[in-house]
Amino acid sequence: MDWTDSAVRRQALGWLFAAGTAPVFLICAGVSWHWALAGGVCAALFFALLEALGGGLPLAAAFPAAFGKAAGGALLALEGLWLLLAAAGSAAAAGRAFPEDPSRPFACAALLLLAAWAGWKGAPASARCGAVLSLLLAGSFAVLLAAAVPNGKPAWCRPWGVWQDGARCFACLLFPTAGLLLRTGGGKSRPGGMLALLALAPACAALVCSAGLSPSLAAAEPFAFYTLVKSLRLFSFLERFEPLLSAAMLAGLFCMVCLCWQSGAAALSRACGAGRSAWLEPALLLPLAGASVLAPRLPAAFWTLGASIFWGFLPLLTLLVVALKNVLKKEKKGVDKPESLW
Amino acid sequence: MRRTNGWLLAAAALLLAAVLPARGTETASLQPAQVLLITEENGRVTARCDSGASGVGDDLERALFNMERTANGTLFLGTVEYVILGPGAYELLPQAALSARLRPAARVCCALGTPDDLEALPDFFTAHRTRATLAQEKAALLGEQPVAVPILAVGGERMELISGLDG
Repeated sequence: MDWTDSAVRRQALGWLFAAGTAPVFLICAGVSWHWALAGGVCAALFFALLEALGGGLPLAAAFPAAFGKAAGGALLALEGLWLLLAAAGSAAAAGRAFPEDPSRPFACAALLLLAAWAGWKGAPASARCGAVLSLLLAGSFAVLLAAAVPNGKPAWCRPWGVWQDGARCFACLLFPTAGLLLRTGGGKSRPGGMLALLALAPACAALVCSAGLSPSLAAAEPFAFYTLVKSLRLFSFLERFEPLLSAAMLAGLFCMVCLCWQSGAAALSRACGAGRSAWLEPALLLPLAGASVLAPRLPAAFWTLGASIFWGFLPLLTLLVVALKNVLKKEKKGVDKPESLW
Repeated sequence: MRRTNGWLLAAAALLLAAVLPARGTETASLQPAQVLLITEENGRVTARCDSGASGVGDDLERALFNMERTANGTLFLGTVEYVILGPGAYELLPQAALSARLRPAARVCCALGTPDDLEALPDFFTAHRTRATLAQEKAALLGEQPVAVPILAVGGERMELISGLDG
């Protein structure tokens, strides 16, 4: 996806926003707001740093530039495999969007089929779909958050939790790296609004959830935001917003699965030196279906560590090596303008 | 090619819709409950709701399950807005708070006497707003500040909330 086209860039940002609703409301809403804020701010700063380091260089192209064709290709393949595992994990999480429905295993299968179809259509089509869904999701979650605010108790807004919650939030909010891997060109983008949203939205969701449910209950529930939505009362009447939340979560998870799946497939095909094939993503359907059965059995620490390494450390290291190589190259050429290093 | 794929997908969707088990419900048999009255006598828990259904069991879950099973139609306990703990059933509040069948937003109160007309209770509670909910009770069980449960005095047809009024 070429980000020089402003329409494509906006669609990609919309896609990232839609995908981001899944980790924000599934994971970050169930932790203390101050750890969610810390995780969100760190993730936003990380992407600001990545953007400054990369200077418009596509992340997928940076791997061979940093580590050579063989090692860079191997690392890119590992990155791709991680992304495919993350896609399987996200698809498996679709069942959590319907905690009271006995037919919830079908949600994962339906999501994988839809994502395979979206992969066959290609990343631009998924981006357009994500852009449309982002407007729908923004409206839905705004309604849910606004309805939950009057149910909050100021006494329950106190900070709680442990630092591992912050680490978990930070790791899951590193998902936009997948979007950077799909970028094929374009200069520096200025996603200031997106970074502000990444920093603040998880804290908002966590604060509303904690204030509405109490810190103890928010920590105890497996999907705290769902319990909050079930606990809503407006003007002293029960509100039944769960179907809206379930549908919104499914749409957000669909965008997340598409994002991870397509960026993983793109990374793998680039690592193998092959061009994009429309059949690659659908061909991955069966392996991903198998992985989605295993994914829920993996511990939370595995996902935190994996996301920190493959979405955080590895891309940062790659872009740092590329930047360092550029500096050394310029020094070798005797360029005496150190202020414009990149 | 593209058009053929579209038709193939539509055919697959139709096939799936035919193969997957349909869970239809006759509209006339739906029984959404609004008020749930829980009483306990000689170690047996009785649950009764305003739709007329009732069930008995050794604990609240079994009583609710029994009520759902024996109801004349499909009983919806997820629509219960008010949970009344009758005389002898106050100890069942933790069970009610932890029950997955009841909504966390349902208001809860303890009754000094058994209200006869459960259908009149929604109007009464609309006029007399209370605070305590099952979610708050569950939070209290997990270590939060307990919320005072309102007490409903029942004498014949007359009812009065004697504590826990909102505002």
